[in-house]
Amino acid sequence: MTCRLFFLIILLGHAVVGSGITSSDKDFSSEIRFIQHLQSRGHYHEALFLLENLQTDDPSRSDTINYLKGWMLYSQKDLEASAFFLEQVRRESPFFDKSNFFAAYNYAYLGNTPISLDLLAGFESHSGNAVLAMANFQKAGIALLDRRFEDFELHAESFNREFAFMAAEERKLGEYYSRLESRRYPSPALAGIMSAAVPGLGRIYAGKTAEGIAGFLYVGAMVLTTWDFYNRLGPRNGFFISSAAITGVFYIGNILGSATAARRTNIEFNYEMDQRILLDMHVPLRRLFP
Amino acid sequence: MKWINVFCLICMFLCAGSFHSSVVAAEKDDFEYAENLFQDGNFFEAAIAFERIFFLSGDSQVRIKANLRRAEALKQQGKFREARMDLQRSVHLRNFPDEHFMVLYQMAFCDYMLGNYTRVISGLRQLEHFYPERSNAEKVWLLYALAHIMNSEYEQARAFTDSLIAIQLVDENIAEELKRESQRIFSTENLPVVKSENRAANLSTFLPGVGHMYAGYPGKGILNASSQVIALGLAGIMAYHQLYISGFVIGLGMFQSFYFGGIRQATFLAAQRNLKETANWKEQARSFVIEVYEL
Repeated sequence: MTCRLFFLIILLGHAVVGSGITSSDKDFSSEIRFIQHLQSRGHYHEALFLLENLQTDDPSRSDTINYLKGWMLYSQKDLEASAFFLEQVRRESPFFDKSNFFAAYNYAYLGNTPISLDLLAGFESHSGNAVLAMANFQKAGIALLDRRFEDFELHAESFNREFAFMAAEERKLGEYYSRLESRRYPSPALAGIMSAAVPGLGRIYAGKTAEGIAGFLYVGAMVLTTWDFYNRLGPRNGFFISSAAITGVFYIGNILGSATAARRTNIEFNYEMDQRILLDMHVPLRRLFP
Repeated sequence: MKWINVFCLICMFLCAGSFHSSVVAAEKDDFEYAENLFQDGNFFEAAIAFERIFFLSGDSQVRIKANLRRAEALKQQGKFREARMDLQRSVHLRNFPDEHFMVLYQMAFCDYMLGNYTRVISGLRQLEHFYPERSNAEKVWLLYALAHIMNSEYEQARAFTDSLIAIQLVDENIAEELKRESQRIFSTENLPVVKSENRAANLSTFLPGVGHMYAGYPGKGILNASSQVIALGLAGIMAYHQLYISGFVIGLGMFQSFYFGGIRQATFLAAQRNLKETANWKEQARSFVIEVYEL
């Protein structure tokens, strides 16, 4: 009996194989497996090419394709294109949570935080506690990126270190908040005035000590040279006039440079903080969705 | 009942055979399809098609063959790093000597194209160890010679070039001529003279401009030394006119710039010259070795 049953199964299997499966009719899931194999080997370009050739009217298959495209583009650091495909994954898809979180993160990284917040709002009716906590965490991170401290405080109230995958990052966001809130940004105007009084002092005030000392030395040396020419050769002498003109240009340049240094310090600080916030928003995401 | 069972078993046996042959036929078709893509110059899609065979096949020999052809398609696209990475998947399959030999050789070739010459040599030694009877092939000697040339290992490069000449089936007169040319290229007089960057820097520290001359740029050396003399002269003239501060700032300021700049320039010029000389010689030697191989 068993023998005949096997015979029937094999006969059926043979009929299927014998019917001739062409490459275009290949089973969707086996094609996806092959694409994932290429992805795992880092051949993103080839995998994306195959995904592009996979045409389907089935929405659930479209979700899989969009998710894979988005994820591969994300791996290639093409965040804008990645966000575009991840955003298209429907709520019904098992890939929705991961896709939506990473689309939101990509937009946040690209500086488009309003879209990130819109995407994260999609989790409000979600039933999973971990997902809700993650959405709140991401919103807190975005509030810090936008320097909306009140909103951050609101979201931070829900930080309870309950989930191990983001407990450390919750603490770190709190630290960044403290640093950002207590930060006193050097004023470019004040830096300029300080350098007008003592060349290089404005740069030291802006936190660029080495640049300030160098500025003081070269402007100081030029002033001394000009004074030397004035003292020995008189005010009408060509050497004095040329030296005074050059020194004047460098003196004014130093004032402008000090104002720029203050602006640069502020930009560098904000950039560093943004990078840290983005990193700490990213790490728990990868832990929750490996 | 018994006969029905026997009949079923016979049918199963025949079906299994037929199924296996249909799988083999499908693999053959896939190979043909991939090869056609390759022949049409569509290397990108050919690489995917070969990878698909590698992924789907349960036959180790088919997989290693597909992997080799994929590497070929990747090489045609200039993706040597990817080709090497993929070839590594088949490096353990020693039960297919022909294919395994090619895997090792292609890996060494990719290493050469990636500029990792030390790894080429170690790869070829591994190949020699596994296949001593096959390792005296022209292409192996060629790769050895090229890798040693690029690694500036002149003695070894010469030995492998001579071995390559010896195994080439050419006329005795041509072989003699080639040996003479090899002797000329690898002779001590023809080898690039490498100038020491430290020596150039030390010379310019104590004798301004001499480091430049040592590096082979006498004009630049004279210019640098003159600039330093003029700067010092300017400082002296200013001091003579009691312009002590201006003399110090302008004269000595210029002098220190020319002095320290001269030391850095001498080092840079020595390195530049070494690079130029070595590149010229390597190009000459490489062209010769390839010419011998193509005979």
